[in-house]
Amino acid sequence: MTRTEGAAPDPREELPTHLPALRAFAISLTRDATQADDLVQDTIVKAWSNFDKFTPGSNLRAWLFTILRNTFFSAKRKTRREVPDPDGIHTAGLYEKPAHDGRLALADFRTAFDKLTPEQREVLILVGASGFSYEEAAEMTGVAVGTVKSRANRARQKLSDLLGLKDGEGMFSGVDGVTSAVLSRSGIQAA
Amino acid sequence: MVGQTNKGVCGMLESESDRDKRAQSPIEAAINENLRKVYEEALEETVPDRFRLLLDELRKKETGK
Repeated sequence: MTRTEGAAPDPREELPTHLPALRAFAISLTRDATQADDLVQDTIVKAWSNFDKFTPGSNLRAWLFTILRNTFFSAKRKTRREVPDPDGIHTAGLYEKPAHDGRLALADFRTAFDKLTPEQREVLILVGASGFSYEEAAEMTGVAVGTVKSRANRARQKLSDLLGLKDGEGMFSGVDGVTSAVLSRSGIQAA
Repeated sequence: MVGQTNKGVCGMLESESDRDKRAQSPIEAAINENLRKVYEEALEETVPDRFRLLLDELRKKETGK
């Protein structure tokens, strides 16, 4: 695996550096470590045999993420598993108010996150956690930028509903425990 | 993460203003913060050996051709 001086680096050699991110993305989609690892495995094999289709100098991580999510969603289509209606899920009373320390447990957030559809988790992870732009996310998921934005908004709305967060006016005056907990956790509210 | 896409400067500017707009909602910011935590937890997990073995295998096949 020696590299000739001055030659363009083989993108395949960069693959290992993207493995943690690929796994994290796969876990976000599948919510299951075993499924996630199988998905990463399939992604590596596909990427390896298709590296001639990768445009040198373009975003390798985005390319790998695209292969991973396409693999995931096409397998899902084959198994014809029902995707719950994103807006049809009952939301009230799922969560306890936070413990006496007033902090929203990350576990509660995770439980709410699990209730989203894979499409909703995907868009939030892409634009909310892994730093892709709406435009990049649109390219990766093969939909219009507007679709990405509305999907992200719906997903955020559903999380807010599940966690009992209320946006809009009264945000800071009538904050309930969960809201203030989330806010203080994220450092939005001044101490 | 932006950099080398074909979308160019316009796409970058637009997405930056999107981020500013989003930052105006405390709930969105709080959600993003938690999303990052969930994602980073997964990122910090040790990558199973099977992937390094798989890559070694693929490289071997390549050179064996």
